Formats: sequence, structure tokens, C-alpha cells
Amino acid sequence: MRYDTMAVLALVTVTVLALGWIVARDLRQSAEETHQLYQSFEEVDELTDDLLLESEDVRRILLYALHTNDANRQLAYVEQSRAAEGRVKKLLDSRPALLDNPHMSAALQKVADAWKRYMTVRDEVIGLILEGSVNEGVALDERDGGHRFEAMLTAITEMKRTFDADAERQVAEQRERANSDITRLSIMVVGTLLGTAIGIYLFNRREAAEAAARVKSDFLATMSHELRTPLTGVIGTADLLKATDLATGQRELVRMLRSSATVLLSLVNDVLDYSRIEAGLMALTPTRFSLGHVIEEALDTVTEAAARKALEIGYVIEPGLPDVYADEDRVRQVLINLLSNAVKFTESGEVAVRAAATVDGEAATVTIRVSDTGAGIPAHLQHRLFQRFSQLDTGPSRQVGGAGLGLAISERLSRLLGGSLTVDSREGEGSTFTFIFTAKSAGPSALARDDLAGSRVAVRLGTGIVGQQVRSLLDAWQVNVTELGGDPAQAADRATIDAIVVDASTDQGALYASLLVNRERWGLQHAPTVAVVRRPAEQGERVTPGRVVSTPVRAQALHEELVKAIGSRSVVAAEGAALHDRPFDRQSLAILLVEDNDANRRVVRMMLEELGLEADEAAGGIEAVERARQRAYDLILMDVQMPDIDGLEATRRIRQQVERGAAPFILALTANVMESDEARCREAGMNGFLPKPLRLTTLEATIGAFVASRA
Amino acid sequence: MTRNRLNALGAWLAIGVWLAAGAQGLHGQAGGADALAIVVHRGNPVESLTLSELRRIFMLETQNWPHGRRITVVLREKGQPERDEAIRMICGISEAEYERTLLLQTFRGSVTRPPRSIQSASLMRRFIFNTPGAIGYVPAGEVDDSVKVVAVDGRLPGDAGYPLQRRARIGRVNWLPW
Repeated sequence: MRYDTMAVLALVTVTVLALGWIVARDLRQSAEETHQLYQSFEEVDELTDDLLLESEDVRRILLYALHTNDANRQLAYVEQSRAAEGRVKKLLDSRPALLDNPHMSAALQKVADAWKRYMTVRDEVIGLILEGSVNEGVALDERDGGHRFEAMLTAITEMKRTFDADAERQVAEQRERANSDITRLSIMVVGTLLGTAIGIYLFNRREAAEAAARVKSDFLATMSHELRTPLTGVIGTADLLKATDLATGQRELVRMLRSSATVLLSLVNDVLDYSRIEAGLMALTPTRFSLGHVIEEALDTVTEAAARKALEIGYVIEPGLPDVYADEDRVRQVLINLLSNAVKFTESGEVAVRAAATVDGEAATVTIRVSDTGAGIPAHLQHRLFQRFSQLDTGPSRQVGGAGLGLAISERLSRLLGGSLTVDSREGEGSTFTFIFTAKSAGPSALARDDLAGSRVAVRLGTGIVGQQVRSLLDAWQVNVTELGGDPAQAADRATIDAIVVDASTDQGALYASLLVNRERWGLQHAPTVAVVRRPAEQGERVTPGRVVSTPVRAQALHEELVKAIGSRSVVAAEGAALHDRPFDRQSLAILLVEDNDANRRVVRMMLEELGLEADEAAGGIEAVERARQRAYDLILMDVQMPDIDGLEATRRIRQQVERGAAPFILALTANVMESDEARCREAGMNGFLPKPLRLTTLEATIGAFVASRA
Repeated sequence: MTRNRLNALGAWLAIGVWLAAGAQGLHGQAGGADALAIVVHRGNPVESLTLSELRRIFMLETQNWPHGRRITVVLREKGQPERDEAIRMICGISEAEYERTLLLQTFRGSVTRPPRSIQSASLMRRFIFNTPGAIGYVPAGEVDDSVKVVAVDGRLPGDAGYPLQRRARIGRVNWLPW
């Protein structure tokens, strides 16, 4: 038995004993009172009986004296009568304690008075008898003595009646008091016992429940660990299997196997974490880290899922936020949980992370909000969010997987980190999870940069989280930002612009393309560009010349690209100048553009237009071969990777069908810039290649070189 | 003549000494037990009576006390020597004469309440104790606090010259010529 259980039992015992003692004392007291009451009843009964008896004697004996003339006998009767009188007097003087009662006292006084009145008559009668005037005595007794005596008897009876009524009332009161005492005390005792019993029951039940929960957690922890080992084996084996030679169907099966195993592993990890927290085994290991870094890592894990739904994702950190000491892994875990939930439940729009902190000396309280534009959570379901195994959508139409442990784990982790996790959501308007944890401030962030301070960057950014993020990063680096606005040509101080940052992730790269095409016209030809594009499969990426940063934007990546872009500014300017010196003979070149992707084709077409050139277009390899058979082109820009036949095969076929002398100049468009690729291109009959992303300057220079070689 | 006068003087002296000695002797022996004490109720204000007043009371000629209360005379029972003795000492007549006188007075209507008769001295005391107007007698030796002794001719029993002295052992002392 545990110490506190014993303490509780001891306390209960003492309480019960104390109550028992009080009960016993009260009952004994009440019994004593009743006993006293009955004793005084007896006393009064006795008193009245004696009074009646003795006073009757007084008169009866006196009356005997009236029936004789013998003075000796008369004397004897008188003396007996006087003796009886003495006893009556004694009774009247005795006054039992009970006669303190005012009613009784008054009644007794009445008796005494009546007795006294009778006594005066009787004394006279005695006198007459002893004087020998018996007849006078009889007459006096008949005239006064009789009724005075009766009056006294009546007074005694009256007293008795008064007392009886009084006693009855007192007994009733006493009984009532005793009853109410007993009832009250019984209720107290029963209440105490009941309360104790309930307390003990609840206590035991809680103990049992806690013990059961501990056992369950221990079991889960062990089981999870045992499950993880073989699962890791399955995943490792699947990885090895994937690396071997497999048929396409088999490869797909392996991919499915691996992805299923991965899902299972993450589930097991969740269970293990949860069990660890519940079992109190989760130990924190504080390290120094930058919040931006952790957030970027967390965002990385949802990048693909977000890209599949075309969600905009990014983060904004309050400027000047210090690095902190805290358990980085746990913070990241919570963030990943929140982010994967946000992405999971959001069909369109954005998922944004915003971090801020209040620093008080060494102590920092970090607040990270993860908000989405998803379906939101109905208010009546919000309280269930942080319960384990709880999924709001439990019906058969459940749309998302998961064990429902993520938020429960996150909530407990944030508590473990000295903070909290709360939700603010409105149905149809999205949700914001606020994750707060406490940390030790570790000084200025290691991510802080000042080497771009003072440079001028023109931006064209969306209003979504990506645009906000880029702006906040530029602000943090103390870059002077100029808006490109609706008509970039109006930008006043174009010449001093060091670089351009364009958000190509939101408007399919159209703006970027038009920028590239119109740069010269806008007087921005000297400024290198950095485009923010959507990762991983943003189609524009393949055709965007210049520098590219993919979403979610990593601060370091954007910084590096900006530094490189600004550093290359002079080169760009020089190339631009050369271009203007050598205009093409615009109508003399017959050009075919082969590109299966519409957007890419459009970008290249715009670039060609910028150079004053026109081109026929083909959307695939077979179409290209056909067009090349119908018309003799001077120049063919050939995409290498195409679905029907690739650029290399198309080139071979074109070379076979046209005469050698009229052979077109074929340039490959490829992102594969390895030497071996170049060799393969030449082997297939290509004259050169243009690396993707295609740059206008490169295109211009290459075409210029071709024209020059023909001339 | 001188011798005769001296003899006569001597004789008187002798008698006086004897009487004195006798009286002294009686006092020494019984403390006045042979005196008859007249007793009344304790509440009675009367302190003293002359012998003639006493006689009139006992002869039922005086029937009320000076303060108004009726007088109840108490005697011993008929046939008891103490009744006769007391009547002789107080009234100077025999018991028979006394009874005759009372009877006569009763017939005349001047007496309505005859003396009460009591069997013993102790009963006499108790009767008087219980009867406010009563007057009776007990041997001086039997007096107690329950009754009040009344002086006769200004003398209490035991005083020299107390008129109600019993002479039972000496005989008819009161019949001496003086």
C-alpha cells in the first residue's frame, strides 16, 4: 500500500472516530436530559400525590377531632393533623429543581397560598376544638374550611395539570431535538463515509487507469521499437532492389512497396514518440540553431505534396530574431507535423509559416504560426484535435490517412518544450496553429547577412507568402527595393538597378518571360534576373534563362543567386551591347522551333521575336521531321527530350531525308550539359547545342555566329 | 415574764429555722418540684396573675384574657389526685365543691365551656401548646419550652413565698395558723 493511501485511510479513520465520539456524546447528553426530565416527572408526580395525601390527612384527622369531646383524643388528632401539616409544608418547601420552571413555580405558589388560606381556618378550627367549642369548630369548618381545602386540592390538581402539559411539551421538544440531532449526525456520518468511499473508489480507479496507461505506453514503446527494426530492413531492401535491373512493372511494384513501408515506418515512429512522451521518457537535448533553418527544413518535407496541389508555401521571420538554444529535433518535428497537416487539408491557396519571438534577457519565447487556406475546423470539433487517435473525419468518406497521432504528439511536445499548441480556425476560412515554445536566446542569427546592403533590386512579386518571404529577406539584407509595377518601362532609375527578382511561381512565368523579352525596351538589359520558380516540376524552369530559386525559397539560395547575379552585371551589360551592334537580316533566316511544351515554346518564340526573327513551330519530333521534309530550314532549334521521338532521333531522320548541301543547322536545346551529352548530340548530326535554361544573350550570340559562318 | 418571752421567742426562732431549713431542704432535693407551675400558651402576653385572679379564672368567673382571647381552663382528669390537689391549692375548695359550683354555673348559663380534662402532665403541656387561650398547670419540675410559666402573686415556682407550694410529704402545712 502506498504512503498517501495510508495517510488518506488514517485521516478517514480519525474523522470517523471523531464523528463517532461527537455522536456518542450528543446521544448520551440527550439521553441524560431525557432521564432528568423523567426523573423530575416522577418527583412532581410524587410531590402532588404526597401533597394530596398529606393534606387530605390534615383535614381528615382534624375532622375526627370534631367527633369527640375528649380533650385527650382531640389533642391526639390535632397533633396528628399538625404532623401531617408539617409534612405538607415540607413538601411545599422542597421545590424540586424542575420547579425552577416559571409555570411550575407559579402553580406551586398558588398551592402554597391556598394551603395558607386553609391553614388559617384550620388553626381557628383547632382552637375551637381544643377550647371545647366543637360545634363552633364544625360550623367554621363547614363555612370556610371545606371550600378552602377544596380550593387547595384544586390548586394541586391544577399544578399537576400545568406540569403535565409542560412536561409533555418538554418531552416532545426533547424528542424532537434528539431526533434532529440523530438525523443530523447520521447524515454527517453517512455523508462522510459515503464521501470517503467515493474518494477511495475514484482514487483507486485513477490509480488503476494511470497504471493501465503506463503499461500501455510501455507496451507501445517496446512494440514500436520492435516494429521499427524489421521495417527499416524492408525499406533498405526495397532501396537495394530498386537499384537492380527491373522491368517497368516491377519498378512500380518496388516503388509502391517502399512508399507503403515508409508510411508504416512514420506511423510507428509517431506511436513510439507518443508513447515516449506519455511514459515520460522523452528527454530534451538543447542545441543552438537558427529558426529560419529549421523552418526551411520542415518546409522541404512538404515541398512535393504542396507542389502537387500547386500550393504556395513559404515563411516569414520577424527581422532580428536571434538564434536559440532548444531541442531542434522536437521543434522541427512539431513544425513538420503542423505543415504536413496543413498541406494535407488544403486544396488550394497557400500554407504560410510566420515566426516571432519575445526576448527577455536570456529567455526567449518563440511563437510560430502555421496558417493555411484549407477547409478549416468546425468550432465544436476543435477540442478533439489534440486527443490521441482522434481524427475529425471518422466517417466512411474519410479522405486522408494517418493514425491521428500527429497533433497529439505535437501538443505534448510543445508542452514538453515549455510552451503550448493552440488552434484558431473558422470553417471555410482556414486554420492557424500557434506553436509556442520557450528557449534560451543564443545571440544574433547565424543566417544574418549584410554583404548585399545598399544594393538596388527591382522586384515584381505576388502578394502571397512567397512574395512576402522574398520581400522580408531583402529587407533583412538591407537591400533597396524598387517595384517594377505594371509598366516596368516607367521605372525611374533603371540604370542603377543591380538586379531583378521576379516571382515566377504564381503567374506561370509569363511575367518573367515578358520581362526577358522586353528588357531592352525597358532599359533593364543590363540587370541580371533571379526568378523564383515552383519546384520541382515547374515547366518554365526549363526555359528560363538567368538565375533561378525554387520554392520554398531558402534564404541562403536566394542570397547566393543574388550575389552571383549582381556580380555578373558587367558581363550582361557587355553582351547586351554586342547584340545591338549586329542586327540580323530578319527575313533571310528560315527557322524551325521544335519544342513539345507550349509554355517553353512561347518563351523561345518571344526571345526570337526580340531578336527580330520569326520561326515555324513543331510540337514533337515526328512533326519536326515532316516539316523539315516540306521546307528547307536554315536553322532548327531542337528540344532533345520529347515524348514521341526525341531530338536526337528526329535529327538523324532529318539528316537522312535531306540533301547534304541544304542541310539545316541544327542546335539542340538541352538541360543536360555534360560533355558526353554534347558528344551524343554531335554524333546524331547536330551542329551545336544551347543549354537550358536558355538565355537571350546566348541565343543571340549563337545565332549571330551561325549567320556569320554562312556569310 | 422575761423567761417566758425568751422561751416564746426561742420557740418561734426554732420554728422559723426549721421552716427555713425545711424549705431549703425541699429546694435542694427537687428544685421546686413540689411547686405547681401555672402555664399558658407561649403566645399569651400575660406574665403574672394574682392568686385571686387565678382563682377567678379557674372558677370560670373570668372567661377572657385581658387581650380578649377566650380562656380555656385545663385540668387533669377527674379522679386523678393532681386535679383535686390543684383545685384545692388554686381555688381553696375541694374537687367535689368545684364540680358542684361548675354544674350550678352551667345550669345558670354563665358557663358555656367547661374546663378541659387532660390525662397527664405531658399531655397538659402539649394541649396548652396547641391552644392559644389555654391555661393549666404542671409540676414545676415538668415545665419546658413548649409552654409559658406565669408568675403568681409576682413569684415564680421556686421563689420563696410562691403560693402554690405542694406539701404532700409534710401534710397540711397550709393549715398552719398564719
